[in-house]
Amino acid sequence: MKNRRGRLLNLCFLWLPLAYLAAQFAFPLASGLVMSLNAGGPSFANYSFVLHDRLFWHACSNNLIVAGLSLCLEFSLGLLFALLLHATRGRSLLVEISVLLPFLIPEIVFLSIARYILLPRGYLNGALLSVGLDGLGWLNPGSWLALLSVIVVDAWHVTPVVTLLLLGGLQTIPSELYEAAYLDGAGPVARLRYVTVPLLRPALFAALLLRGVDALRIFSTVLVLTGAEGAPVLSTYAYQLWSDALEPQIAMAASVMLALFIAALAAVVLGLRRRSGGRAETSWEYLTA
Amino acid sequence: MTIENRLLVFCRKALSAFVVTAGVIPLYLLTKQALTPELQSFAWPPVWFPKSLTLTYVKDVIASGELRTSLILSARVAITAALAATVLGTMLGYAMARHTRARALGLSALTATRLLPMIAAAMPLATILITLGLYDTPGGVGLALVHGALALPAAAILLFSAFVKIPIELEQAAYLDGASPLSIFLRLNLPQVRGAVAGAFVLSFLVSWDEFGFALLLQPTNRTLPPLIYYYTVFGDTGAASALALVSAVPVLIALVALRPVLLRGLSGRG
Amino acid sequence: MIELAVNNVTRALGADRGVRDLSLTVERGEFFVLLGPSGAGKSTLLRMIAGLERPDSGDIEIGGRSIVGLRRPDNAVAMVFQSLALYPHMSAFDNIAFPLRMMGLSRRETEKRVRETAALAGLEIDLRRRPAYLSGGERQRVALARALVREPRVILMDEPLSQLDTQLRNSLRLELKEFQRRTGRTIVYVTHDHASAFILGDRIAVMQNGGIAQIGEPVEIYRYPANLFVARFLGDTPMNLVKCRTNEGRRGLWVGETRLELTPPGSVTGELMLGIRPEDVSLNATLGAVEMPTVVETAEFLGARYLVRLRLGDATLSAEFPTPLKPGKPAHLYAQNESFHFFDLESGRRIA
Repeated sequence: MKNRRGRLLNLCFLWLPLAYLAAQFAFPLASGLVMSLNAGGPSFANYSFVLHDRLFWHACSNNLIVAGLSLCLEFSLGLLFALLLHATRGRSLLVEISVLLPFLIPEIVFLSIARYILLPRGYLNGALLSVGLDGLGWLNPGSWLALLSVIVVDAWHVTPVVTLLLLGGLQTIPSELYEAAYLDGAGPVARLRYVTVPLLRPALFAALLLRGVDALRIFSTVLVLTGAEGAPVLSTYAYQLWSDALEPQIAMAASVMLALFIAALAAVVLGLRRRSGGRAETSWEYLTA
Repeated sequence: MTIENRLLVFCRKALSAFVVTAGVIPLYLLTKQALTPELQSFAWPPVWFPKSLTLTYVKDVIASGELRTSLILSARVAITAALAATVLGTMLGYAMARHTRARALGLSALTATRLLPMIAAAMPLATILITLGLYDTPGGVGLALVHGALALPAAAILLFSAFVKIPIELEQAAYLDGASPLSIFLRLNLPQVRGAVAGAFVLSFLVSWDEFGFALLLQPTNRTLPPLIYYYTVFGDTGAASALALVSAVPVLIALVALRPVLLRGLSGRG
Repeated sequence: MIELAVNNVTRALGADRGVRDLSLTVERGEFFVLLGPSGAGKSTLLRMIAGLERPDSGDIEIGGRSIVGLRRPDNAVAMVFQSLALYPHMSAFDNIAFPLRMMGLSRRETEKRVRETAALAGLEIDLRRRPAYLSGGERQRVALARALVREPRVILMDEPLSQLDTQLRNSLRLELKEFQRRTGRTIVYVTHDHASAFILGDRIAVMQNGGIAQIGEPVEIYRYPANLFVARFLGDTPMNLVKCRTNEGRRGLWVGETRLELTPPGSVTGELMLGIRPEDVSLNATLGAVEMPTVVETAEFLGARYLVRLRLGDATLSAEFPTPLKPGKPAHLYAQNESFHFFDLESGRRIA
């Protein structure tokens, strides 16, 4: 469309949505940055406070532990489920829907149930009691058990997303490749290792990026299960400074740090992907997950 | 592969059982709690199968008070957000489908949106919305606008993949027939992606309906459903929280089960 | 010596697809072609021989050992897929080496055999390149080398050349035939293209509806099609098939009101189908030729020749001539007695 009206239309169509996004996110982010550099005049005092706060480092380490373990759990389970779904596709509606269920229920609803399950007088301890075991304080603030609960619940909740992303990747692998590998003498394990995993790499990277970021910015899981202080992570740390301590500038500084972590992670994952020979065709489907 | 290892078959069955349990248990417990009288809900050891059922909580949610207000607010916010996301997503999706540079730009912007930490945007947004007089309003306009932006990536991508499938030759033919760019878009392209538009609307609606973080920070007193469920869960009433959660989950489940083919297939970008 | 034996194999795929009670044998060192339209069951048969699918009943033996129900394929068969199914993430070298690695061969041995096989398949490229960076012909050779490298008894090919452009296909086809002659491999080749079948095949099995319509050498199948299906399926311009009948007490065959000086074999009477190939028809009367009085309808320019349609009695014939004929003009065509084929109208079988 080489005429002027056509160009005008396209400019509108591209820039109107982008301007909207900028107004909703880029502008607040920038103004947050400005606020974080303001402590009765421009200064790094807010950052200095954050960096000297023991709780901040505690939140950092919690965040890393949660992200690391929950990613491991999600990806091993997600791969298993994706393979299962791929193998039984069209055969088991029940399995298909069940895999997705935790993800289909609204997040807060899922977390609410998880909380009821893990409470001291909750269903998990009830089940333990009925087989003659003592219950545990799954959500005790500050305990490693609470951290573990957060990890497991997070994995339980988002494994479906990982499953979907990996399943999408699996479906792009032509079945003839498996047949060729079978005829070349590769058993199930060799087929998984030499065909499935290498060809799944683009999907794995997409899922890793998405889930890595989600795990770093984890907020509601912690808030609902343990409360902001129970197993503090960066998001809840900033939230607390903002809503309870009423220190908005310091809270902004903390959240800017979180944004930096996320940007760093994204850079690392995207860099890895480029180095592993990921081709120019970007997989954009992950944006819908 | 016709030849299958017995061990593999067994593993698959075990895995299926695990998956079904992990998927179904939360939903069962939720339904149970929403329908059991309070005494049984608080019993220790917990009651697995209720002895009697009650509809009190569900009725409360639909009929009266705080619960109903928040149900209506949630719906209003979600519909506004879905409208915004669908309209803008259609525009962006079309621009991205037709121009390589727009595609690159759009993808970066959408990816950045997808990676944004909620807390870093929500806190300054609260300040901004206060200045604009849109913070914590009973109509939830400010939150709806944020949700619209939040849902934009999914909507835009859905429409983008629908628009790319329309051959450009159709447009060129219409252009030679004398149609203006806008009428080409409205009369030729838009009708062909009706399904995707509907899908984008439903998906955006759900994004807003489910959203917790921004809602918690931007509507602290005029609460949408998710924050309200949170407060009920943490500070109070098991039955009411569960009934509320159930009511909020049902439309989502219906919509998503209906969208299942899109979810399973659309993600791989084919079919 | 029999290398591959398929005995009464059946595999049902829906109502009218699959393979039904099919038997055939392939000799060692033979280039055997399965020819048929899509849906005839040739790929299903090939996949069963490969061990990718299991017959509902019947047995398949390679080198005298049954391969049905084996838990893993042994080294008996290798296959070149239609899509080639090269591993996109591996270099050409790794693709070819993959079967050897699965066998657990040492690195030195693997290296040696990959180089040898690549040379045998005519690969003269940097083997470190991935399939995406190879040309169509090179990919073809890599796929062939991967199939060869384990030295299987039988190599199966599922229309591997079908996705190449005509020129490349023709040259690779000749090369493949030459390669097979030189190395004496046993190859089973699936195609729907009769030209490929003729060029490649030592023997051809024409498949129809999951069974075999005819097995034989290319010349034999072309000269003596066993039924109407085979007659129609082979040849660049399909065989002319004309309904005709005998007349009681009078010699000859009638096409409409036109009489031909022909006697059907045996003592067949009544209606039957007469077949003649376009290229067997001539404008020159030769000794003992049968005359066909016709009227020209159309003439199409094909380049080297003209495709002419002519009316014979109540039927239409196609024929190819080096010169055009004028539409509307009468033309006398001639054909040798033995170039006429007779088929039973009902069963479609050849009358000999």
